[in-house]
Amino acid sequence: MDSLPHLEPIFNKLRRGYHFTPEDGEVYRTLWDRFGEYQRLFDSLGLDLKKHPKNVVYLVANDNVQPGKQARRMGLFMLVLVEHFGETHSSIVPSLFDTGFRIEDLPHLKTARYEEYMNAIDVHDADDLDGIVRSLVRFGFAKRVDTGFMLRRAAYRFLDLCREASDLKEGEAEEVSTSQDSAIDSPDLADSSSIE
Amino acid sequence: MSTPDIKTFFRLAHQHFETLEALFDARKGMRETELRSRLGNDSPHTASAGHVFRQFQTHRLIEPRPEETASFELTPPVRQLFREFRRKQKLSTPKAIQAYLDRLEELMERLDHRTEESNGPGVERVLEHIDTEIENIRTLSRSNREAVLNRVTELRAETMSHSVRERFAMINELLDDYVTPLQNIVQSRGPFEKRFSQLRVMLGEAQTAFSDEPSLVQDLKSTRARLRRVRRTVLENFEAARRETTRLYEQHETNSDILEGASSLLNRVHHEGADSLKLIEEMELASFRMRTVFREEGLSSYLHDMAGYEPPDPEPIQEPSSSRVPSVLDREELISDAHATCPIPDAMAWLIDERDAGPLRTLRAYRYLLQSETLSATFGDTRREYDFGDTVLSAVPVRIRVEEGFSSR
Repeated sequence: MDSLPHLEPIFNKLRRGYHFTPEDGEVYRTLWDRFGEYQRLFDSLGLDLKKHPKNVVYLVANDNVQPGKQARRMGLFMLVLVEHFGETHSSIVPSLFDTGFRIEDLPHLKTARYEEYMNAIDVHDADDLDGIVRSLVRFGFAKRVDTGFMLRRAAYRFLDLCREASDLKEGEAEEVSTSQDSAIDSPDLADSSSIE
Repeated sequence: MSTPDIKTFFRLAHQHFETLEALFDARKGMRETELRSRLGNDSPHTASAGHVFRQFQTHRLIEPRPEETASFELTPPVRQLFREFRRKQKLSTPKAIQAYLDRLEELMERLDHRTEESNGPGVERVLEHIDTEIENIRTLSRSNREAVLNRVTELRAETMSHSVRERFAMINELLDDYVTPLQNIVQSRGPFEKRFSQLRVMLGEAQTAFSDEPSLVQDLKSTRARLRRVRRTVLENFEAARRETTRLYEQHETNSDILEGASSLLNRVHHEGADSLKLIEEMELASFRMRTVFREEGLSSYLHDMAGYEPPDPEPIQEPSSSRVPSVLDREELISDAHATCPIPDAMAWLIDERDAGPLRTLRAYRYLLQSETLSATFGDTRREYDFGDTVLSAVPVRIRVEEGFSSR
């Protein structure tokens, strides 16, 4: 088997939850082009290397060592950002990824509802928000820019969760509607004598 | 007052184009005083503003706005001309096309009667009307296509200040009000195809009935050709409008889904707290402490060999005699010794020398070293053997050093 290049930096970043994207240049290209070989190698260790359709490569945690609290903080932060962006802009993708965000302009602590969510995860001021951005950067979901930060395409993973939740909601609504229809159709529930 | 005259109509339009264009752009028309003032400023033309203003009305370029005699607007044909040239078409509801189809149906009945009566001149007159109606359908269809595409372009433009929800609602309205009903009309068994197909048959029958009148046969053939062209154009126009709208819908459906999903998840947090975000946990973000550094030559092929390896059943555990009870391996002490010794060029060799234990205890100690958060392990390249007397272990040497920031242990 040919040697796999950049194995050490790739593994060290992946095991910390980093998501590789084309912005990572040569290392990403190697990982993408020889994905099958890397995947087999990681599989030997019981690790699951994955590709996201938006050209993102990441490692999936396969035991109980996943950073639940951290993920929740990042997740809630992203949900607020996405909702606010959708309510103030005409589209979310791809413009969310073309926008530079300044910590001081973030909506998270500016409305009572969002502030309540943030307080629930122990976020009270701009420094706390910056801490979440640091995590997002560490996981490869965001990058620092002069004025603040920008999202990287790896953040599509959060958008996937939103779409999943939307599908789920639609599914539930359909189920309710179906059960209501069947209740109406059900002869047991209709008093035929009173209708006549 | 003079009578309307097409030549004067175009001359006036040419001379006062800017004023007419301003009137077209003024959604609520223009006050008479402003209109006269503009006409007065059209300096190259010597006629007085009052005279031109009256000519505008006589030759049907402008007319008073309904219930507002002091305000004027362009007459519908002039407005239509502007729209045509500026491609600012109005969306036509499919009802408009349906109205033309209904009118066509009446004309078809008349054509049928005239043909049965062998009334050649009557058929000729009906054909003229049929030509007009089907051309109207073609014009309306093209205009509608342009209007739909303009609307799609507007909705696609990021410059619009509408939110994702508002924009998605507008796209749905466009689909519900214009595209889907039109689809119902032009689909293969819809009224459009039905009428056109019936008309084609009727024209064929009339051609046979009047085969001894070459001029009429020619007219009938011409109408059939027109019918084919209109049918093709209407379907093309519809398809273009449908394609663009559907593409826009799909693009914004994604945005809408993302927003709805985010709101729905936040709503859940609102009612059930942040711990309810199970979906986030399903992202399974990796973060673990394994520090093994891959060295391809030494390890990768070994790892590949290991994949699918099924370990044999363990030996039964024997009751230890009191004299053979081994001392408990003190993990802390081991790590502390390792810290004191680091760097250790070969961990296994070090354990064999220092601990003088059997292979099982040595391997357990070896695992403690590799799993330590404060030590860093680097695998060597060449495999070597470690002799325990009864057992020989084969492994690549592992170099151990203290992880940065933990040297003070």
